[in-house]
Amino acid sequence: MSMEYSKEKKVGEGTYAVVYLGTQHATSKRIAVKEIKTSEFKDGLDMSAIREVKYLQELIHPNVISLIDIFMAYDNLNLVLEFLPSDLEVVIKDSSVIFNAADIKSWMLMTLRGIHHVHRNFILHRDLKPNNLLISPDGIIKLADFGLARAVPGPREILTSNVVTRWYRAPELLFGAKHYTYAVDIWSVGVIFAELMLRIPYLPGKDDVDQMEVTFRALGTPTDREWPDVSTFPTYNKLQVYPPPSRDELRKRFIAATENALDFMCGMLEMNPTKRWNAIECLQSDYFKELPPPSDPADIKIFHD
Amino acid sequence: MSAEVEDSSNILPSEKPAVDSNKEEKKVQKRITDDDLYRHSSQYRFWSFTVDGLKEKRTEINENATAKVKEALVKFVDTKKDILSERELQTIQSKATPLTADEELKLVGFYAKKVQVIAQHLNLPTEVVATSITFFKRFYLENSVMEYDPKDMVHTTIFLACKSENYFISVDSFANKAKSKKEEILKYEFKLLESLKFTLLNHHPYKPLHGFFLDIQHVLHGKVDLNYMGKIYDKSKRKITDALLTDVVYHFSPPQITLAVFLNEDEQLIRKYLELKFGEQTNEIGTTPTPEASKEPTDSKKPDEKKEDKSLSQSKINVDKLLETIISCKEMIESFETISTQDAKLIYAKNYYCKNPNVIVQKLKRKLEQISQDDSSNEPRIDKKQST
Amino acid sequence: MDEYEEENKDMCPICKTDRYLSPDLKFLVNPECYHKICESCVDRIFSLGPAQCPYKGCDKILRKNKFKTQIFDDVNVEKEVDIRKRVFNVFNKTIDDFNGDSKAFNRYLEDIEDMVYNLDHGIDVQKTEEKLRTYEELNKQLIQSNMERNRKDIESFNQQQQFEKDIRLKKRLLERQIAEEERQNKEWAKKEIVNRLTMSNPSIDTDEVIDSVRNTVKLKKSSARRKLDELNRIKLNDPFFGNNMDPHSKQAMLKRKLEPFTPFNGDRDLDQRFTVEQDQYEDPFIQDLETKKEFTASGFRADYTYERLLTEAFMGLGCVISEELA
Repeated sequence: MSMEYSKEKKVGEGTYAVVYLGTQHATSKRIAVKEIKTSEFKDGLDMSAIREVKYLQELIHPNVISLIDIFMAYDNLNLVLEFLPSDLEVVIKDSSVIFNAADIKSWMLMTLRGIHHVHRNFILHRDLKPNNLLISPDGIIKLADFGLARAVPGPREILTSNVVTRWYRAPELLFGAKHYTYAVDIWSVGVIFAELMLRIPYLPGKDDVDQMEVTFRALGTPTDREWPDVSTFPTYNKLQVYPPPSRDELRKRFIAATENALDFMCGMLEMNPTKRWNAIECLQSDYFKELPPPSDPADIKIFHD
Repeated sequence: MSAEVEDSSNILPSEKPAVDSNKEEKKVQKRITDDDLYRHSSQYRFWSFTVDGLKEKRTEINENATAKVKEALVKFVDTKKDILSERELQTIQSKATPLTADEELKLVGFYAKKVQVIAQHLNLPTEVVATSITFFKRFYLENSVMEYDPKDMVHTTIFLACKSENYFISVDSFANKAKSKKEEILKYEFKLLESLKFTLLNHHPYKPLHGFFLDIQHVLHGKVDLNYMGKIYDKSKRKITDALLTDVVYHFSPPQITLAVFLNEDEQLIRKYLELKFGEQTNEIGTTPTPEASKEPTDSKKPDEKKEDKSLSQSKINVDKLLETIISCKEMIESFETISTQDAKLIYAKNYYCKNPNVIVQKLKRKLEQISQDDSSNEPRIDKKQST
Repeated sequence: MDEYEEENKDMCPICKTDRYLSPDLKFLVNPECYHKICESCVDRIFSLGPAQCPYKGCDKILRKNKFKTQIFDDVNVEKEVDIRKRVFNVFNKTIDDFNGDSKAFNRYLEDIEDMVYNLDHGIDVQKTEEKLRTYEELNKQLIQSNMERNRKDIESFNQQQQFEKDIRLKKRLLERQIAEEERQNKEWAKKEIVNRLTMSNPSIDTDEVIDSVRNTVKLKKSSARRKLDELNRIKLNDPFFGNNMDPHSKQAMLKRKLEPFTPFNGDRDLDQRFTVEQDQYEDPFIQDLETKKEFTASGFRADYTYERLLTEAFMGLGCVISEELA
């Protein structure tokens, strides 16, 4: 066990890791330790652990969780991460927290800056959801959980479409695409944006089949006309054909959204992945330029005193 | 290079103060060029060295291991003082000499090539082969062959490289294909990861190669035969894998290595390309700002500041200096020598005796008992594992 | 001037056309002398080039393109406003430029007032004009950036107005929807009560039935009402609506408005060493992928692929390790 850190409280347990809160003795700083249960895997080091370590080591950005240290103890791999006390899921669900359009904009800006940096490093996150957008004590959003991340593939590589938590899964993934791109991450951000405005999950499918139903009912069933060759996906059949929502319907659903905010959302929730906005286009959107300006993260009150 | 980047070169991703909450920080927020992106990579921060720095590192590893080996030998002799003959003691002293740093380097080079051959034999994609070689070599930048037998690490590095490059093969089927044992493959996996300083992402020169293949078509548009280019590309790809076995990976960035390999294939073509691309008169081909850049007025600075910025810009490439760099890279690749199997066997045997001095004693006994002797046949075989 | 002025406010003193007779009559003035002349006279007199003002005793030479619609009835007011506009366009600092020092800012404003007064009343005209010109020369850059800022302020003001208008419209729609729903609910409740009372056995408590139905109606809080609540909440805590904002965040917002918005915060290479020239590349491999449906339908884009390869080709080309790590 490393003497440099202490683990104080278990705060979470996932399939392959346990997370503790702790302290870095040298600095008395609060930290989180993600202990990866390596001994339980017959194929040696687990893929999720490898991915998490691999990508966190490379990414240095204010909106990506920072990896302070890694050490081995009792055959377990321990990732020492910066302490991030909250996440967007908690904030959305906490009805005592009131947030406004400027706060949402601030969160979107930080999230997209993080994603742009990840994409700039030719990495796909593949598991964006409110739960993985952590919040620092001073309100900064940090992308976390790179257990599903991977490098942007070379053209010959085949990817698994079984990525991203269901509600945030892009249509091409629902169809089982094997050569998808950065666009899958942007879709997730679009769904998160909608969720922030509605304060309830936007596309909550009950299972994989229902996810298609829910997605297309809300945003229209894609056809070959606006998404060439979409019908060639083996799972593209027996689909209920829904028309895409009219602008007015969207205005009614997202009652507080400005026209620019709707454009921004529609750009990210574009069905056809080749037409979907990329991180650069999102950051250059008029949504960020119009009033209100994004809140100063430190001014957003999400923590209870 | 700015102090800021230098600072981050020897620490892990630091806890930089959050940008938005801190106005001061916001003002000094540095523009991160693509070169800076490379400077942020673990390959640059942990695995790039000057020639002297690398030598120092190897010497240190060697000295530490030598001290340990000597200590063990002394202990061995000490405990068996009473039963060892004078002649046996002399033989131990002459045969069980620790390896020099140079011998270690040669042995690692020999086995790195083996890693390449085995990985290719397993039909692994080029990038996985490259990562295997890289992991293996980096392991021995942190450890000595006197402590970890290179034979034990070959399969472990290939197996981890597969997983790291998303080319997952279960350990059972890997062991089966590689004719190895699951336990042996996994035995040092943690040790390997730790020695790699938990950094797994590599920038290999294959993508730069493809990128230059495209950019040459643009810069020398209409002046270059595409069939010919295709051939150069294929040849260079193989040469890059060979270059990964050398020390250039520690002293040069992937694009520089790529250009060095290219230069070796067709010096005239590459010189012409670089001249047109970065030469003074035709500057506009290489350094016109991208259309996106001009689309983004809010992110740029005040006009006069920007001008100043550009003259100092690190994006600017001096052709002569670049050529100088890639020529020295090319020479380093050319001067690399692999040792013969015979030489490797000798070094390996020496290392083996150091760790197993009793083998020397036993051999000497047998030699004395049987007058008919053939020393070499009794030497440990390099491709078969012997344990005591 | 007065001589004409008193005659008739609605008659062109030159051609004597009366506004009562021709309602389209439009008066123009020229800032040189502020003598009002009707549009058709201006056309007639000045179309061929600069000419003397047709007013008796006025020797100003006027140009057609300088004529403008008179906004204020009183030409004196008109004149002062014009002078003010001209001076303020040059002396366009705000209190922020004085770092909030209101004393210094007030002195600055007084200075401006003096100049306006002088110009308006013909005192030291030449000297004042000179002052204006010199200041303009010396502070070109500052003036320009302040102008830009003012323009943005106006823009954001307009944006805010539009936003408020949109919200008001949405609210009205919702309110109408709610009213309609309430009416329907009431009708439903009435029917329901009658239904239940006639269907059930006579021993049931009438009041209980009525209460139960009313409760059901209450629970049916419509989605329209929820949305209206949502809108009201925005209005309450959105920094857009500056009136109920605490002074601290208001100041912070003002300060931030002055800083240019930087979407990437520096995390972008604005000086990349390549451009993607897709139509010049002969790349059989990537071009082949473009024809494959499983690629295009998945979102594969050749330009992204090219960009990635080119980025990697130049990423680190300028890193001379032997120097940087020495």
